[in-house]
Amino acid sequence: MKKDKRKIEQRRADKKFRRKVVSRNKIRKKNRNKIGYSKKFLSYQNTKKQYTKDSRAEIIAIPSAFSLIHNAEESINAINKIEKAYAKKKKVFVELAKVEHISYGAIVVLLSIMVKFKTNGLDFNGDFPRNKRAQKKLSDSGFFDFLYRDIKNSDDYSLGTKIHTHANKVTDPQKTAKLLSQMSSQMWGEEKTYPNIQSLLIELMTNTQNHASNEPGVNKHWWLSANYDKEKDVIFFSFIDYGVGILESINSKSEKNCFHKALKKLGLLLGGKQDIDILEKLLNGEVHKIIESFEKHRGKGLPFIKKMNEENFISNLKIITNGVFGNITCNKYEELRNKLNGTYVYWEIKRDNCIFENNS
Amino acid sequence: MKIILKKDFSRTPGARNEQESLGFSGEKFREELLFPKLKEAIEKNQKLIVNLDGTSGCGPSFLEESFGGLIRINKMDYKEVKAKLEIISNEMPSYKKQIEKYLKNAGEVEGLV
Repeated sequence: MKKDKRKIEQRRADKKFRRKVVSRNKIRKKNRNKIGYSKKFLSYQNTKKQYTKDSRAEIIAIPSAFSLIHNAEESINAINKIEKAYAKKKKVFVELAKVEHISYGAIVVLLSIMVKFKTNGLDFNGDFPRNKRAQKKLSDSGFFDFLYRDIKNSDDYSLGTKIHTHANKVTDPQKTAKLLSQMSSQMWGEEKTYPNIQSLLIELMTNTQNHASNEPGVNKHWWLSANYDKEKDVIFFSFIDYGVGILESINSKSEKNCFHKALKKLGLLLGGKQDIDILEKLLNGEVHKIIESFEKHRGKGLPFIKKMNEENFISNLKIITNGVFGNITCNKYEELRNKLNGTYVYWEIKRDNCIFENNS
Repeated sequence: MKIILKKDFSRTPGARNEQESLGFSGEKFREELLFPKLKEAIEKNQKLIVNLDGTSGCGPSFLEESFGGLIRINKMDYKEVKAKLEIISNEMPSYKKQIEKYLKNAGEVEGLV
């Protein structure tokens, strides 16, 4: 009897030990996947699991090269997915873990989207890039400062201290003049005015106000981001609005509109493959030349922007609107499969760009 | 008679009209300063000198509304405006050319050129 009892106890002890070993191996295997990651990152992954289980949530993967300039198709595709989720009032978890490269333009896009979600009471969350450089860039923009804060609905936003991002619904020349002073101070060690860049910004802000929205009385935000990169000695500018886009804005106006009439005279039709030609002609001022004389005071903004690039006041100008990507500096225009609902303008200021017209 | 834009109006001129601009618009500049002063200059047979230097920058819409608007909106005579208005813009000489073009375009539309 005693022998049986000992055998039973021995068997129980063996079984318990075996279970412990299996359990320990399971935990080791689980932990092996977590080696090298910070607790913060792991907590985001746990949050992500909750979003996976929630039917009212969407997890959207951001491409490893998140840049409207260098990877327009994939980046715009990701942006459009987030916009669709917003339209359906869904919560969003943005997967940034695999992002290796994030451009300043993409950062302003993310910031503007985050603000849009939060001010409308929609949950917006995400993890952060494992790539240290991408992580630092995102952190410098103020993204993480605002991600965990409530943001009130406002016309006017200012985010970030190293990457400066501003937004408003009206033309704000004082803000842009101050931003240019700050940027020039970082580049030159003293505050300078950039009259042509200021003019360019005024035109862009005004265009957003006048053309971005199809609904009367409803104004869209413009978002502007500027950053001086010390390593490259370049000031990067990104301007975006999520309006209807330049081409769609003309397309939605009445046929009596001066731009419609001018395009008809040029034999161009909006909404198709000719969109590339149309954007090129708008920038070249060819459409403006045909506009009837009594409306000739209109339509100066786009040709002015292109002229700034040609006369070396800015460098590397690129415009993305609706389904067209314009590399203005190289005079190349491409059709995009993934259309941007809005207008994105990118340019740089280098040390050898002109500030004043007398070349000083 | 003189108008120094940065001192008498704003160092940061804005957009075309008051609806668009948080700063100072071309419409406001024309209605409150440029048009009354130019009218006075014409009556006194004097020149009105407008100095555009020292501002943060003037957009094409601001300039067109300010100066082209003298003829389009205020219905001033193109030849009188040309005779009595003098623009100083040493930092940005293109502003002078732009203003001449806007005045001429507005004058053509009104059939005055």
